[in-house]
Amino acid sequence: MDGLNDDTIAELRRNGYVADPEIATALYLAEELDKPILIEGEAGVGKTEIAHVLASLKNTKLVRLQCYEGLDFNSALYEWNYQKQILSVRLHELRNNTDIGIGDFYSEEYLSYRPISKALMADQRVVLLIDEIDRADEEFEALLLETLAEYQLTIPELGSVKAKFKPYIILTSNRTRELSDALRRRCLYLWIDYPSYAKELEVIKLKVPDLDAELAAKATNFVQGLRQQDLNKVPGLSEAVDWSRALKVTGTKTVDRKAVENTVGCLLKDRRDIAKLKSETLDPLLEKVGNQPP
Amino acid sequence: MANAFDSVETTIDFSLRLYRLLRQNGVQLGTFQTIACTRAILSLRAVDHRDLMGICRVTLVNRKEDLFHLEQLFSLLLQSYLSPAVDLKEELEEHEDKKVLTVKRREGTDESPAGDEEEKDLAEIEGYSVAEVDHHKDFRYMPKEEYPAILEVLAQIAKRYVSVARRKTKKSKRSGIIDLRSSVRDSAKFDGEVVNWHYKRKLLTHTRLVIVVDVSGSMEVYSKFLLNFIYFLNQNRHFEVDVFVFSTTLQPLTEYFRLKNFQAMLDAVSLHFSGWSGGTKIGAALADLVDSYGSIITAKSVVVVMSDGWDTGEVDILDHAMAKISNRAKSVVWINPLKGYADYQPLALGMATARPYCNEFISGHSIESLRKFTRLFGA
Repeated sequence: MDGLNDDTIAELRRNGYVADPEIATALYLAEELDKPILIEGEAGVGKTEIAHVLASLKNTKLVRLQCYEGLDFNSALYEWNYQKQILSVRLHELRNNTDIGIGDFYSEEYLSYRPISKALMADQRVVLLIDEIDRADEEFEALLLETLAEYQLTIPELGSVKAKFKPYIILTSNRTRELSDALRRRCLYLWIDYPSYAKELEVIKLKVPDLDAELAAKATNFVQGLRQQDLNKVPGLSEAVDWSRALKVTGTKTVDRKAVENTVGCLLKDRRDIAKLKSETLDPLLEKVGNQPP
Repeated sequence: MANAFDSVETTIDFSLRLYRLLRQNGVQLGTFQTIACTRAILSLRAVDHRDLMGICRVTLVNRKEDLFHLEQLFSLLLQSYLSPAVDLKEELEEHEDKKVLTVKRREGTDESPAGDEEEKDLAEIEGYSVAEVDHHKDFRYMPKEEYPAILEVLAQIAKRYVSVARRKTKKSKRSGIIDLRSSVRDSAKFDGEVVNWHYKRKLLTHTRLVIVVDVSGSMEVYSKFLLNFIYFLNQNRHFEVDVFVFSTTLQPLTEYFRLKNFQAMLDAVSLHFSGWSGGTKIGAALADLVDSYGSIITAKSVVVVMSDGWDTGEVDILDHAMAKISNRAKSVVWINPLKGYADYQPLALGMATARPYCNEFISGHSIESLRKFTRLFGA
C-alpha cells in the first residue's frame, strides 16, 4: 500500500498540497470504500484545502455547502421552484392546455437544486464539500445522514433519488461543538494537527517559491516556536504562509524584531496575543530562532 | 520492527482482536467502522502493520480523543502478537501494564522540575482573561476573582443560545414572508389561481421553564451561577420562566427577575429570604410547589430542580411530590452538581427517591455543563 500512498502524495504535491501519509490513506480509502471523510483539526491547517485539491486532482467540480446557524433543508438539499410552478399553471391555462395533472408540476424540471442535490444529480463524480458542519444546528446533521450513508435523497413527491455518480464527500469541523455519533459513524475520520517543521517548511517553499531558503527556514522555525507559546489564537498553517508572503513582499532579509513587528498582523489575530508577544515572548523566541540551525 | 503479519488472514485476526480491545477500553466502535476497516484491509491486501495502523486511524476512530487509545492499544497488541505465546490473559496483563505506565508518566512529570515550572506557568495564566476561564472546571474550585469572567462567559452563551434562528416556521395571517409552498397548495382549490397568499413567520420557542433551586449551604455556589444563567436567558425573553428557591421553605423569585441589575436582584432576594444557605427540605419544598403553585406546571412546562439530593425531611413527601410533578410536567430535569464527579452515584436518599421521576439528570457544576443544559429545552 505504501506505493499507492506515495503515488497519492506525489499527485497531491503536484496539485500544490503537501500531504501526510495519513491524509493520503484517508483519500485513498474514501474512494475505495465509497465513504465520506470527516476532517477535524484546528483552524487554518488545510482542511478545506483538501477538498479543493481533490477536485483539481480528479479534474472535477467542487460543490460547496457552507454551514451556518439556522441552515435549513431548503437551502441545503433542494426546494421546489414555486414561482416556476405558478407561471407554468398560468401559461397552461392561457393555452387552454388541459391534459396536465398536478404530478407534472412536481418533476425534476421544477426542482431548484441546492448543493447536496446538485452533487448527487451531477453527471460526473464531483467533490461535495460540507464546510464547518459544527456551525449548523445539531438537527441539521440528521438531514445529512441519508446522503452520507446511501448517496441518495428522498423527495416525497419524486421518491428516492439515487446518485448517478457517487460524489466524494468531505465534511470539515472546527470542533466548536461535538458532532453526533450517528454522523461520525458514517464517515472516515481524519484529524489534522498543526504541521511538523519539515511539512511546514515544505508548504512554505511550495506556496512562496521565490522566498529565500534560509529565510523560509527561519520563518518556519519562528512560527513553530510561536505555537509553543500560550496564545488565545494559535497561528495555523495558512497564517504561516501569509506571513511568509508578507516577508517576501516587504523585502525582508532576516527574521528580526523589526520584521516581526511590522508583519505580526499576518500571524496573530488577537490583540492580547500581539501585546504579549511584543512585550514578553518576542526576544527569547528570536534568540532561539537565531541560534538553532535551520 | 519485523513485519507482524504473513497473510491477510493474520491481519484480519489481529484487527478483530483490536476491535475487542478498543471496545473494552470504552472506545465507541460500531459495526459501520469495523466493516469499513475490514473492507479496507481486504481491498488493499494490507499485511504491513504500518499500513494497518493507517487504515485503523482513518476507519475505526472517529474522534480525536480516541486516537491516543488506538495508538496505545495497537502497539501493545502488536507487541503481544510478535511474542510467540499469545493468549487473552497475557493481553489483559499487558493492558494493565499500560494503565500503570500512564500513571507513572503523570507522576514523572509531576516530580520533574520542568513539570513544576509548567504548573506554575499555568497557575499564573489562570484568571488572566475571559477567554481563559476553564469551561470544564467545577465552580466550587474557581477563585472568587474569576466570578465576573465566568458570568461574562455565561452571558455570552445565553445570548448565543437565543440568537439561533429557529428553523421552524408557522403560518401567519399577515406578517412574515410569503409561504409559496402553502400558497400553491391552496391554489389547487381555485384551479391554479392563487387567490390567498399564505404567510409564514419564524417560530419562537415557548418552553415554559419552572426552575426550583436549592440554596442551602452546600449548594450556594452552584445555585448562584445557575440563577445568573437563568437570568441571562430570561433577559432575552424567548420563553417564560418561573423561578423558586428553597432550603427549608419555598420562595417564589420570578418577580425579581424583572429587575435590571442582577446583583440588585440577588440582594433583594437575600433581604426577603431568610433561608439562604441553611438546611435542606426538598420534599416539603416540592410539595409546596405542587400545592400552592400547581397551576404553573402544565404539559408545556419543563421543571428543573437543582439540588444535591441531601434531604433532611421525610422521603415519602418527596416521593409524592415528584410523582405529581412528573405526571403533570412535560419533563423533569434534575441538576446535581455532584454528578460532575466521575465516580458519583445517586445514593443520597433524597436523590435515590427522586431519580426515577427525572427525564434528565445532569450536572451543573461548570460552564460547559450549563451550556449543555440549554440543549434540553432548545427548539
